Amino acid sequence: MAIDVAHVREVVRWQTVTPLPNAPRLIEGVIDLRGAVVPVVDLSRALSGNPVSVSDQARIALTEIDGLIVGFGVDAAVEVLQVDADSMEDPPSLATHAGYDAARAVVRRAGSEPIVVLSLEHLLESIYRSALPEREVAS
Amino acid sequence: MSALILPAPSDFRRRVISLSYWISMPGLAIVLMFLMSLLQLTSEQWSWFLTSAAVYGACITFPMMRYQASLLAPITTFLAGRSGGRETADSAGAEVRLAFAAVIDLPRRMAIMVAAGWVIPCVCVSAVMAIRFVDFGWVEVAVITLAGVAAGFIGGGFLLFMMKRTVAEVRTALASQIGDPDERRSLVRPISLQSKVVACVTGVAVIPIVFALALSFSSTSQKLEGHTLQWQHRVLSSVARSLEHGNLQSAVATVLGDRSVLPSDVDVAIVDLAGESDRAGLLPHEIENIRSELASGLTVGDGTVFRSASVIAWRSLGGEKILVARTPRDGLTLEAGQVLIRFAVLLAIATLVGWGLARLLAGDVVSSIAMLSTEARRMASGDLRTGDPFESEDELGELSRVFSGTVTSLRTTVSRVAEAADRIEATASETAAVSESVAAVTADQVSGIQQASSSMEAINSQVGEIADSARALNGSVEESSSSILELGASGKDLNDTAETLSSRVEEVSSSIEQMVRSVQQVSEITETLAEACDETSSSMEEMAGSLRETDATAEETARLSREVVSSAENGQAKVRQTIEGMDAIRVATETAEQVIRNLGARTNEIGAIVDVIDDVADETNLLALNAAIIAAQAGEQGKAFSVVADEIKDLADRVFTSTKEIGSLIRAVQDEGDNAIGAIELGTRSVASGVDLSAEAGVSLEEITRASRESGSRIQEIVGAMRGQAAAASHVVELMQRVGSGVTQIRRAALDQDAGNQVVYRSATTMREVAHQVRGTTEEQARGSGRIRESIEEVRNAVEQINNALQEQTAVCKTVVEFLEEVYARTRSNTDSASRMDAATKGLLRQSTELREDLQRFQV
Repeated sequence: MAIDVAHVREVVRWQTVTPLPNAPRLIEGVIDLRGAVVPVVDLSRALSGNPVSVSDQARIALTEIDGLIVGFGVDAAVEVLQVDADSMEDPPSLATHAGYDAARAVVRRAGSEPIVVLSLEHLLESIYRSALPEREVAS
Repeated sequence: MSALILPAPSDFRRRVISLSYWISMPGLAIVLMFLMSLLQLTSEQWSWFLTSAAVYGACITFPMMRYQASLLAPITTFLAGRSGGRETADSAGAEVRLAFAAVIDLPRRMAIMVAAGWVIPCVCVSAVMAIRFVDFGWVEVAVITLAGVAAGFIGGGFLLFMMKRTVAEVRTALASQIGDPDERRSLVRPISLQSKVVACVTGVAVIPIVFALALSFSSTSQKLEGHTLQWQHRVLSSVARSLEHGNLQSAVATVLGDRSVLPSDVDVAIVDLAGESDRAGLLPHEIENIRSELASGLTVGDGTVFRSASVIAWRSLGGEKILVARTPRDGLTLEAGQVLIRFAVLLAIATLVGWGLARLLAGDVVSSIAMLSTEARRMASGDLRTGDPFESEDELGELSRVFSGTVTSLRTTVSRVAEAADRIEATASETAAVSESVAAVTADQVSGIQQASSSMEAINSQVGEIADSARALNGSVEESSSSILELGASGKDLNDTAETLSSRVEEVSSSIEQMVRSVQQVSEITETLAEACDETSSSMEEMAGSLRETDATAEETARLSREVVSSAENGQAKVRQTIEGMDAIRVATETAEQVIRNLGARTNEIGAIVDVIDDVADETNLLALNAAIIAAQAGEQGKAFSVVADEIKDLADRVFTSTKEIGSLIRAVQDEGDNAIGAIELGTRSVASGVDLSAEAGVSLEEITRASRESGSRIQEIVGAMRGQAAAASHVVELMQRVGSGVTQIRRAALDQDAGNQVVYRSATTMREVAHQVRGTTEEQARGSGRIRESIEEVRNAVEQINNALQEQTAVCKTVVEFLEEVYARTRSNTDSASRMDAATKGLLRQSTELREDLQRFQV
């Protein structure tokens, strides 16, 4: 999977996440990155339900969405790809028609499997939604 | 034990004590003589003297008696035990030793007691007198002390020698009960002859001289004093006459004139005894004495009566006034003092001379006795050679000469005894050799006789059997003879009985044949016996042969066991080599293990380094990623940078891949190293177990060696035993050969018998033929019956002759056997005599050897 490099500020090694009590379900916790407290979302759990497998390859990608700083925990950060505009396709209509909006685009690659470009806005939505039922319970 | 008649205990004690008291008499006389002649004691002083002496005597008597009793106790105990007749082992021995020590020491102790019993009281009494009386001066003390010493010396000296004589018999009896001279020596407390002689002679020289000296001193003083008193009286009478004309000074001047010409100074004074002052140096006791004399009516007197300090004469002037003349004694004794010094010098010279002579005399005697003692000791140790001859003109010289003569005769005797012992030993040796050879010869003789006797017995029994057969034959002949007689008597029945006769004759013939056959059987049996003998011999030889074979086999076995021993030793050496090799392997594997462990450590280090590289590569990768992100965000401007970042990323990836490979390689190396270490440890364990097994093998080999050696020695023993057995077997073979020869003799005898029997047989055949003729020609028979009877008679006679001959033979055999038995008995008695003689000779030999050993102690 890929995210738009324009949102990415930095990729750092995985570090221990301090849990944030009563936080929205997908917010794992916070880390201290060079003096700034950054919330961390486990991207793997947000997308597939399985938590990040912590290894030497595990990374946190710091992104900026609508002025919010979010760290996405991932299994690995492999490379920065430069793609031509014409190789980028919209997600399949079959999915979008069903209301699917987690993927922004699909990138085709010659001789290799396609890469899904995630929609960060959708991710934020998910995070917010993950907090909703608990709020209702709390009120 | 001793023939001496010893005194009863009470008798002995009485004799000793009375002697000690009798000895006191001359002592008492000496003391009294000294006191009377040298001292002028007043009656008061005498009474004091005697009182103090009596008090001392009363105090000392009981302890002295106790002491005497304690000295005599062991001796009287011994005498009482002896008269009581009990003399038992150890307690008696201890008692005898105690009594002997006491009796030896008795004279010395008694002498010391008597001497002390005179010296101590004299010193004490003189001390008492000196304290009591002022005018009892040092001269008096010295005189009493000297008197005590003289009396003590004389009493002690006499008592020493007289006591020795008194106890001599008891001492001899006791000494005879203690046989060992060394034991007696340990019990005796020695007083040297020299010291005794020196003490006696010196004392004898000194005492009279001291006495003479004191006496002369005393008499000189008295004479001087008498003269002085005479002169003083004359002076006083002259002065008294002159006093009527003037005063004292003028009177004295008139009488005495020039004082310088006087022999000694004199003071003349008038003394008022009633007054307190002006006493002219008279002492209070002197004034008291003079006053008492005045009161008794005397008008003239002197100081000798009351032992005045100075020489004093006085004369009464009426009332209590007296005229006194006084001369100090110092002036008088001046002369006597010079005499005293001369006498002292004389005394010293006399003492020296007496002491020197006594020493020389004692030395002469002591050296002679020491010489004799040395000679006697040498002789006692067995040295009878002529030593240095000792000569002296006195009795000791004579004793030495007699002693030398004794030694010479003893030497001659010992030499003769030694020669005799040599001869006895030589003779005894010869006799022993002869008796041994006699014993050996008689033993041989006995065995020979025994063998001969047994052979004779065998022959005799054979002959007896043959005689039995002959007797049976004779019986048959008798039977046939009687039948023929019947035939002859009843001629008519001849024909009828001819058949019967014939059959009888047949029977006789068959009996004879049977007899012949039995003799032949005897012969055959003898043959069989001989064969059996031969067989036994041969089988014994076979046995000997097989024994020899066994011997060889045993030798072979011994050799094999030796080989086993050497092989086992080789094996041990090999095992040692193996152990050494194993050790080398173990060392090498340990080294290898160490190397591999080192290698493992190094690979771990490499792994750490690789991890660092890996980290760096990872970091680089991350940095490259971030750079690529930044470059992408920079757009066209960051394109070139993006390329660089990609390159860096690639490099980092490659490094990462390489480090992964290195890591896997290192792990492979470590695994291999672990495997190697495991293998090496396995190898080390195997080596260790190999070493243990080798050591065990070594131990086993050692055991094998030991066992093989042992079996070798056993085999040697077996070989020895087998050789003994083989010797025994050959002896058996020899014996069997002897038996065979005996059998041959018997066979020969039997053949002779057979020959005789053949004669009988032939006669029987003839008889049968005759019987046949009788059957064939009955009439001729009737005619010739007398002739037949004669023939039969002849036959019977012949058989009887044979029988007689056999009986004679048997008798001869018996006689021979008896004779042999007699010879055997004689020989046995010979053997016994020879062994007794042998034993006696050996005893003689042993005794002569012991005698020789005793004699070797003497050096002739």
